[in-house]
Amino acid sequence: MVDLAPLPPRLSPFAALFAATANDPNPGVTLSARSLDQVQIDCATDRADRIALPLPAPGRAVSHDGMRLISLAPGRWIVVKADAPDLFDRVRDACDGSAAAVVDQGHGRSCLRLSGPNARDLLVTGTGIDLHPRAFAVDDAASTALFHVAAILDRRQGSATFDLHMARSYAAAVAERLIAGGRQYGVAVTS
Amino acid sequence: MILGRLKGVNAFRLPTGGEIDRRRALSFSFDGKSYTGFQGDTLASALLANGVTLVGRSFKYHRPRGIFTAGPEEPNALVELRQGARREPNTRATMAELFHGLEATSQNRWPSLAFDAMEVNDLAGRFLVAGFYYKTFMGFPGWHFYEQRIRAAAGMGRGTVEPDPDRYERMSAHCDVLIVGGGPSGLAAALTAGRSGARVILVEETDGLGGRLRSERETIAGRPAMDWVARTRQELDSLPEVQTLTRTTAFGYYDDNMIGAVERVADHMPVPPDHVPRQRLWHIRARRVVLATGAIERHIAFPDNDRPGVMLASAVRSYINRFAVRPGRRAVVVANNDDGYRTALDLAAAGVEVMRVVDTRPAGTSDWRVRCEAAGIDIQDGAAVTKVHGRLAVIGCDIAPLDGSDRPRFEPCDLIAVSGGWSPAVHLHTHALGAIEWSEGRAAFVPGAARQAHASVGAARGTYGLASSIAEGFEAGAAAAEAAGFPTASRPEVPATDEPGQRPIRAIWATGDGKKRFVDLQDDVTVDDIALAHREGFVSVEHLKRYTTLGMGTDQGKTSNIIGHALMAEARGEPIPQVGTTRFRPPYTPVAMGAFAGGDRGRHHAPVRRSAMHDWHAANGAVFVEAGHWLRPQYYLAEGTPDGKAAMDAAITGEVRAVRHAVGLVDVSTLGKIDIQGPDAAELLNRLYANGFKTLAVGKARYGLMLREDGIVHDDGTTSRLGEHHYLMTTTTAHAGDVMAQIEWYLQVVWPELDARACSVTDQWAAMALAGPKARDVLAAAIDDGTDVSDGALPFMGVTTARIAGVPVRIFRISFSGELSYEVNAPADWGTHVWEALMDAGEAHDIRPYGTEAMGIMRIEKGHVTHAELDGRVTLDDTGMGRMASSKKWFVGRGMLDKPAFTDPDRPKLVGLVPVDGRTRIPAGAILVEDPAAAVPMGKLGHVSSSAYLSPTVGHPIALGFVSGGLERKGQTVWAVFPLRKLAVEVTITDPVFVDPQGDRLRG
Repeated sequence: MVDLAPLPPRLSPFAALFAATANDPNPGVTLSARSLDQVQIDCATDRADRIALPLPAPGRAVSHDGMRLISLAPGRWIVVKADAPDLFDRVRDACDGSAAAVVDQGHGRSCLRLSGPNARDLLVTGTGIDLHPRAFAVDDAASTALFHVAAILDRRQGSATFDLHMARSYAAAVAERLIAGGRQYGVAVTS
Repeated sequence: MILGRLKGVNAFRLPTGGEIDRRRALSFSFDGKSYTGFQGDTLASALLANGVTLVGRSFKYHRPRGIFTAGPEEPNALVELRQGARREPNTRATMAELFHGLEATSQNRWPSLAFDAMEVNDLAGRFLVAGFYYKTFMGFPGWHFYEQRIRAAAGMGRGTVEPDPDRYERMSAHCDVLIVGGGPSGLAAALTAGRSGARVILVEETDGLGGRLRSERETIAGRPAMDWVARTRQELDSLPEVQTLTRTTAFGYYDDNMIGAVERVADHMPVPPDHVPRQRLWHIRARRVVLATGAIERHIAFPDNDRPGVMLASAVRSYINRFAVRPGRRAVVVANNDDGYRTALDLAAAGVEVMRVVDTRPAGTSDWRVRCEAAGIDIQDGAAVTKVHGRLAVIGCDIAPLDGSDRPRFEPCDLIAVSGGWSPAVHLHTHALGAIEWSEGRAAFVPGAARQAHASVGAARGTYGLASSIAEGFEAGAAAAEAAGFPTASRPEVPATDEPGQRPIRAIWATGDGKKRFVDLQDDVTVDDIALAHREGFVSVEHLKRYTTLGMGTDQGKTSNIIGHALMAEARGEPIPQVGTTRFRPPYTPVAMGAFAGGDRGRHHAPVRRSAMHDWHAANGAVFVEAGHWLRPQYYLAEGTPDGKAAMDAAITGEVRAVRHAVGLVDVSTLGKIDIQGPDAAELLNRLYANGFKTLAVGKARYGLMLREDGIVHDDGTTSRLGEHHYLMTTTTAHAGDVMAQIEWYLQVVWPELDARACSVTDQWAAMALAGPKARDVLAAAIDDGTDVSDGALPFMGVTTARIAGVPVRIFRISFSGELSYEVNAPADWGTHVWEALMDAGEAHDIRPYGTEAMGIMRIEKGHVTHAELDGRVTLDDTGMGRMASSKKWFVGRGMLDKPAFTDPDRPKLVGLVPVDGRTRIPAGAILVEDPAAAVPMGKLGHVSSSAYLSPTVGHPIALGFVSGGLERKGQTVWAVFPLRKLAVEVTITDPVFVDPQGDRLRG
């Protein structure tokens, strides 16, 4: 056997931006970079029942066994989990061989968790969807545009906590907009 | 001491009352002169408090103008606000809240406001009637010369040319009930809607709630009406689902019950606080809308009714009651409704001498009149103002009976308060295509049937009584909440008010005669202009508008449109509803462009896309170039080298030489990558690409060309087979998005029977191409799991996986540069790690990172096409790749390949081009012609698609282009001409492949 180097630490697309951002001691919004593994499931809708995962309905997300499953569209989901190098195999195994296309997107989409009393005020500067708890409750999810960038919004437990999943190449640009717009409320970032 | 001085300066300030904060004095300047006002003033009220009544010059005639209104409808008092980068023209002094240090300047005058040289236009007025512009100058020689002069004379303010230093924000909001207007009816609606638990947004244009109640001496439940406003606001603030936005103008009502509004977050401050936007643009989507937008008073067109000191009666009451300012010392009030009496009483209470109330109606009585009589105010019935004395300020007016029974009598005064009745502000209602109806009793257009989910209440509906407005508000708010699914309790009891009885309005639009009876003060449209338009056949209100410019100013004719339309109706001898009115269009009041742009400016004009190695590039001298949304390294400068033409050429030359002679590394993450899976994946590819894909073996890559349905080449790239039913397609950077969309379309709509799925993985993989004779040595050194990348194990077009610096990667032996080359894909968060490992491994061979310039030069040297060639006009044959099209299968675009235009032998085809003199650059985009000296229009042979102005490998400039006849012209010379730059270069037609035509290097 050859000696393999260990997997290096991942470089977040937010690293340089967050390192240059001063934290407000009393933030109205907090941006937390989340390093996740992510797998996309794509299948014909009539095959979804062959997948051994509690797949949520369109517009919904569900937490299950340490994983977060989010519906993107009919027949399309992502499964995310932190520090789960086995996630791809696990999801592929749950997909009954040929029931679905299973694609690793762990590095393809970057995740920011946005929270704080002004999280909604800030998000509505970049997206048109209604984020009021009556319209977008905990475990509601949406595929939408955020500052013109395709994003998946997932409302988590907590008064105003949103996970934003964005294409990695655009993620820093979105974070720049969030920080610029969030400064009026006070911003804190965590890598 | 200071207060004492202020008292003296604010000579027209009342000792008590108003909403101003006398403890907070604010200094400001107008035309360079310093004044003092108070917190709570507008620029207009502060100027009036200081006795400044002349504030501007009119648009066309440069006539002296004063403050005419106290609100958003102001036609006259337009000023430049602030200085430098924040200078804003045409700001309404009536809407500009005073702040410490405010600088305002009058506009459209030279050299000064009191002496304006262009006032000669006023004397020349008979030449400057409606339509003069077209009649006089159109068709004249030198029209453009005159046009500039006329436009300069008919000026508005000056904007700034500096970049806007402020931030703007766009907000998206949703609610059950949106209420526009925070006056009594709007507040009442907000209360009942809010109490139901519905999500309510209340927008109010000014800085506080109350609407007209702020400007009148009304009572509710026996106490000042503003107490009720304060209590209502308190309750609204306590309701968690009610949001109140003040300083917010709803400017447009769009489809699907979407209202546009602009919130002036920081316009009342010298500069916005740090990080706070100056303005927010709101998109409010509401289930139900209640329009409580109030009404706008109009004037009466009497001679010289534009002199400073002529003011709407409602504005007079606003200045007295809300701002504690006496707008004059001696007043004449002229009205066609009972507001004249109300105004006279307020004037008298403020210590202004009321010389007379002129009621244009015949004698009659009402509670208001009785109160006036009791106060000892002179009243003249059935009379009108026939002349105004004074030029820079009113010094008096002539009053005469309308029936001509007596001669005009002079009345000295410095203020003429005029009320021609009220027009409900139906603007938003009509934006939403709501109908309007003429109400004879109110002499106004009132809202008719709504087309979207909205209702009008209060003065906006023509309901002018306070109690009835509140009652309508309660009802409309509750009904809107119920319609949105929120049951409401019983309607609240309408509080008691003290409202004297009124006598109905009797419409009168113009009195007296003379040239200068102004209908539209902002655009200098007179009664005579309306008559002229009628005489010349412009009798429709839409033609009237364009011919006279009635209502085309920044105020959109808020005080004047109806007067002009009514006068046209009189001229036509038809009733007003038959003549109609022009449709209001958004925006209700002007909105700064910055608010629409929001944060989408500068670097964020479009979202920025960065590769996973972006920060490495930036730290290593990369000069970036925009490629779509992407930022890509164009070339790399050595540390400490300043950028410039010579430095760029040196960098590019060095990068090309490194790749051709040793090894280089380029970031190709921007190429589109599409993961395709499923049993029918091969069939899908076989249909998408013009060449065959069924025979592609696992572990192999193939170059593919795909066509559009019309047979034109769409895109090219390599597709690799990763597993039995698993492929990775690559696309060009330019077409990554639309190829993905196209595949989704085919799978979902056209070929749903195919069992295949496609997913963009462009962002999952950082991609880098290691190219050059030493590429294999470097790659082998970097691989740490022993994967064999020898030519035998990984031949040209082979694919494998390996680990580099611990990272699992995919390696594709493909080449764009024409050299031995490997494209390495690494999961993006590890892209920089792998890139650095390759750079380290290449150090022994002096590896260089290279950018898009070197990459572009090398692909031109190899004759490879890219989006510059595949520009949506070329066929496979045009690119010389016609033989790649499979004859054994059907594919997208196949059916169109035999159409005559595609087989025309004269079609331009891909060739190489070199300058005959061996050194002149060939401009990309140049047109190829036989003889640049031929008479124009001359025949075109083709064009230059890509140009390498330097080619370190070939040694002289080279280019690719398309020329009619293609390689049949090989060896001939033609001319590449670029008339815009006056360039003509003689070029020789060559093979498009300049380097290694046999491909020995990339297979080495």
